[in-house]
Amino acid sequence: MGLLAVTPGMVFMWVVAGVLLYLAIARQFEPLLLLPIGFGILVANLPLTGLMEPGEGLIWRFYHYGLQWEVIPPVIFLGLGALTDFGPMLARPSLIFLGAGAQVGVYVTFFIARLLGMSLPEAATTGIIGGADGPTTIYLATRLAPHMLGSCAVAAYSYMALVPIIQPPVMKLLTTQAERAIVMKKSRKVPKVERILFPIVATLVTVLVVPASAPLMVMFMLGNLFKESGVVERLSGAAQNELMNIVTIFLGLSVGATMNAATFLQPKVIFIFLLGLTAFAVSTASGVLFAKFMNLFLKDKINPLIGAAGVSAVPMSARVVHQVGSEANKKNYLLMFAMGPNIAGVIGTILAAGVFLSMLQ
Amino acid sequence: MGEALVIFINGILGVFLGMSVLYGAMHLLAYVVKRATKEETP
Repeated sequence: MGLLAVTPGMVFMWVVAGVLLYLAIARQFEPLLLLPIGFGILVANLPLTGLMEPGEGLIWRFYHYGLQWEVIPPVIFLGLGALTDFGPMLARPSLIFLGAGAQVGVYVTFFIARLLGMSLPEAATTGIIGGADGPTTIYLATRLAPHMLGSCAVAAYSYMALVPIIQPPVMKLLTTQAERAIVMKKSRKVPKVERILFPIVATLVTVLVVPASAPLMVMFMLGNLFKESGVVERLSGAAQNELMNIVTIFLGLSVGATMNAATFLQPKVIFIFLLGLTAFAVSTASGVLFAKFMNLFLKDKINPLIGAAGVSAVPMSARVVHQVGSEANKKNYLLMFAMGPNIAGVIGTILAAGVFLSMLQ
Repeated sequence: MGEALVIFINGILGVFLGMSVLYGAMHLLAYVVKRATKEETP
């Protein structure tokens, strides 16, 4: 009987699952992922179910064919691409460097993790949390450190929901009131042709520079091409809605189900959560500092707060930047400017993961 | 630690290189589209 096989570790994991379900349902913290993850943790820690039995278990099949076969994260990126508007980024190309600047936090955290004794693949998987990109975190964890998949995914999604709490203190510490009040010059209008050609050009360019980023980048840009071309509305609609929703269910459930008591109840998990928080904070800081560095050379100054939006929690980071900016200057409307680095950060995180993969696999 | 430092440096350079090339491509794309639309509407 299952009841006789329950262990204290399992009971602890039920509590962890309960916390995530509470955060998802009552507090609406990233519910699309944390709800299935929380439920996956619960069912993976029920004894004798065989749900995660290799070769046979139902949820094992979702995990094996969806994640281990590296199908789900790229398909999620197809949907993300169909939802993304590259307009703010195309209107002001220099803002993509803020997306790059924020990735410095990923590598700083990687280095700290390595100093603390994690192996190189583990340190890379922990560092990428700072990219604030759930599917990329999951993709990299599956490739480099599958035993950390659950912890890193939960850390990434939890901290994404906490961006309004994590980012503002860092932003205010690194900027003056005058800098936060900078009003940026209006950006140009982006023609439709440019929006259509961009995903094709971006695919060519980024994959030639970092080939290992191809699985995620290709699907991201294909999804965007669906959207911008305007001739495949059914495909764009399906990618944004039905497909995205279906794979999100399998993704969340599979990721949660990898978090059994044996893999989660390790001292390393505490490091993952602490370093994940560090990654978010350092990425925010590096984005803001890079924006200030860019201002040394720019005639039309940028508001350094938008550097924080290089942490690609889309669109939460951009909203936080707008909020902090309007506190300094009520007339300032930073949201559309912040969307540029916010979306560039997604590309930056994919590139960062691609470099990790090319060097560690 | 040496290997970690190499990955650290390569990672940051790799991301910035990728973004730099993309930046150049975006400017080129904007220029080409602007020229093409100017030619269409004399």
